[in-house]
Amino acid sequence: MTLDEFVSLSSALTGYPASTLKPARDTQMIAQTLYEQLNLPSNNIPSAQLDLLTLVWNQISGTPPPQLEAAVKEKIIDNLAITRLAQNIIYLWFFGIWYDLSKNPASFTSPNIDHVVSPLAYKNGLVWGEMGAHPMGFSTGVFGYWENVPQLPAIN
Amino acid sequence: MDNSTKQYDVVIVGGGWAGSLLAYKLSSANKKVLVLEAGIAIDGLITNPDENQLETGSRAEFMDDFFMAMAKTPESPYVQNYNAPRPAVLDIRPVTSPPAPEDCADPIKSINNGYFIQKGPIPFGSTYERRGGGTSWHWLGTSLRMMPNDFKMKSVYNKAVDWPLTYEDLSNYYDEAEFEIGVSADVDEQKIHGITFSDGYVYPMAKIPPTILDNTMDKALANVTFDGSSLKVTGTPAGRNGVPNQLKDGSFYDNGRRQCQGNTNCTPICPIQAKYDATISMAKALMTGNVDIIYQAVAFNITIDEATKEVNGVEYKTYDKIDGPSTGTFTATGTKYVIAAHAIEAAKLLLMSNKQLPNGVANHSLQVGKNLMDHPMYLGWGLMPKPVYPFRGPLSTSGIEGPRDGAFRSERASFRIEIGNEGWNWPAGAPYNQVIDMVSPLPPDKSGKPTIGIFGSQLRKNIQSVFTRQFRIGFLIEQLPDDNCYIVPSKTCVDNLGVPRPEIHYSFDNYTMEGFKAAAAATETIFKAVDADNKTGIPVGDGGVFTYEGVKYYSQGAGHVMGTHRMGFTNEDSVTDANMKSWDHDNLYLVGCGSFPTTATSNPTLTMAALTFKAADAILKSF
Repeated sequence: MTLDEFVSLSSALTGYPASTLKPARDTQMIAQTLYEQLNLPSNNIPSAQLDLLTLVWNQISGTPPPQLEAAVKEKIIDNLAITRLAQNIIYLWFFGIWYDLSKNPASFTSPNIDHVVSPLAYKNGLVWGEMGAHPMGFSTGVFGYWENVPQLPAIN
Repeated sequence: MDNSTKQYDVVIVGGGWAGSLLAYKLSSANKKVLVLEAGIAIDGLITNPDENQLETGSRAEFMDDFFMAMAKTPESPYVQNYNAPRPAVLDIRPVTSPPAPEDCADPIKSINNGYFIQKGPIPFGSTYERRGGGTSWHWLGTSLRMMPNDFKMKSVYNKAVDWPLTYEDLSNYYDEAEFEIGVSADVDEQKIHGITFSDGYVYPMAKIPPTILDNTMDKALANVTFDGSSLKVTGTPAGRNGVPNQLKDGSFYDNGRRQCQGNTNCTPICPIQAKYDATISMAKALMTGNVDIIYQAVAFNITIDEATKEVNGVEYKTYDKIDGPSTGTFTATGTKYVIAAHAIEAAKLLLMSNKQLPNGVANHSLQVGKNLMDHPMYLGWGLMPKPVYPFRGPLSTSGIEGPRDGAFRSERASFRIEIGNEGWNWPAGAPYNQVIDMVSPLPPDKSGKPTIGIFGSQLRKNIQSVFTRQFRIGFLIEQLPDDNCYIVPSKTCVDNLGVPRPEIHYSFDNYTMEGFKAAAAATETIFKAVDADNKTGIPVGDGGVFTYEGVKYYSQGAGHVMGTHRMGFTNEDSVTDANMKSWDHDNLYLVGCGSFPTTATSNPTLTMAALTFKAADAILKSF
């Protein structure tokens, strides 16, 4: 999977525009950082699974936007051979975490190879902004901001 | 540092909360002070800046460790030190009956499975830090005063013991502690249950603005009562920077630090030091030029002059690396000695010092290590009908203080209710666990096989809907001194320096368990009043489980470790007098939350700081 394929697939999986995930003037290089997790040998990603996900994505990536989510649902999310890897891409973006592919993240079994990708990946986790908040331990607000109702990001 | 030839006015064991405040006050009065700190140094917080520190830590390093931690526990920013170990969440798991024999042959491996030797029946749920600044690194910041009746449990409610001092005796020291810590609160709002302030008193800074959740609860609960107590919501005094007040002398308060930025991360670490921590007072102490601090110095024995019964030395071990061997044994000497080493570590040190006195130092009363107490916490969590936008602001900005006092205290534990601004982060691992439930729900057989979840726009909508409505409340439940709750040095398990680890015996009496029962009932009352969907269930930290009247309860540690060297009225009922001076040894003081005869319900730090200043005055007068 190339970086561009990763970003376009990530956009479909997370519901965020590709331009948000990888801005034209990219100072944080988060997409690059997260993408590298797919090529990290210690993450033990079966190459057949990664190849299949790439193949399937390339088959449906040209689907017009109104039908794209339905196609992703049918061809990727409902496909038990690749859905777990797709879920991990969602976790990378929302948490900055890579979860052991061979386990269910909710099972908390150990040992596992779950890990936070980097401090920057944690601070750029999408889940925080989605709820109108900030990563715990990384606020850019001013004193008293918490009195006011935040603006939640728009969902297309 | 070789201090063997240097004579100090005061030797303090512990460079944490109490030790730092004491060092500051004593050195400001021109006393020569030596501080022995078991843990590693904080960058820059050293006697001689030219001196090469062995190991140090900095806020930036702690932050990176926090960001990288999978489980963002109170300990997550702070690496374990096998030569001055501290407990962690791993310590809090159900105690088997009978307790399994500990495998302590390899201290490092054993400590990786938990530092405490938990004998139960309920695991002790609280943790602390051993490093420069101590547990102030991860305190919440709550700075409530105790109420007058909290000092008089025996005479008012015929329970436990009275304190050997009153609210009025401590009032000026509260002022002093609030100034040093830098507390933000509103005087009028804090005048509850008989708490009074001197004429014209203002807190150093105005109260921290409430969150949207606080205001939502305030509106719904203003006229609601539980068991005769008002459930009115009030702002919580906080040791974090807000808007400076004009003080009595006309000046505006200024401690040189920045305002709270609402990182929602007071525990485990404030990224910007808007919240006070003890390194601030230690830095000022060092600037007097009267303080030497030795890090990586683990006190293990207090020696006594047989003729005078006074302390004449503190023996300590040093080490170079946090998992390396001891590099030597030294003795620190001074005119006065203070043990300010945390309630559990201080009691451990006194009891370990038994070569000359079989029951340990300062232990004529046999109360050292006894009466171990906490504020066991009951958590309730739910979903609000409308967004309240948690995960914003300081971790807690308001509470419900009405149930802290009332006639019921002769029958059951009182409590205060902390309103949490971090959604279900504490009880249910938010946001991680709920997002995982959405994206890859656990299959019924709980196996690792793939399951189908939601993604894209649906995931985003669910996150917005759920996480903007999460909230939790936490009950800090009173605990009485109890013979079944105590700490002794383990006879079988040691740390990497060969120093015994704390063996803890802990349980709840009916008084406290009745408090849990009332807390669960109060949760129902509150959730009904705010029209919330009660989602209280098994918390992620489920180690402190117990059954009372057929109902399972899950207790959490508050980190409020108290009672192990309590003060009192005579040398038979207590370890120290009201000035925290040992009844047995005229030049020995024991300072910290271990001094508390009873727990009350307020987070203990502010009262501990006030007591520390009281002890400092007594020490200064004793010269």
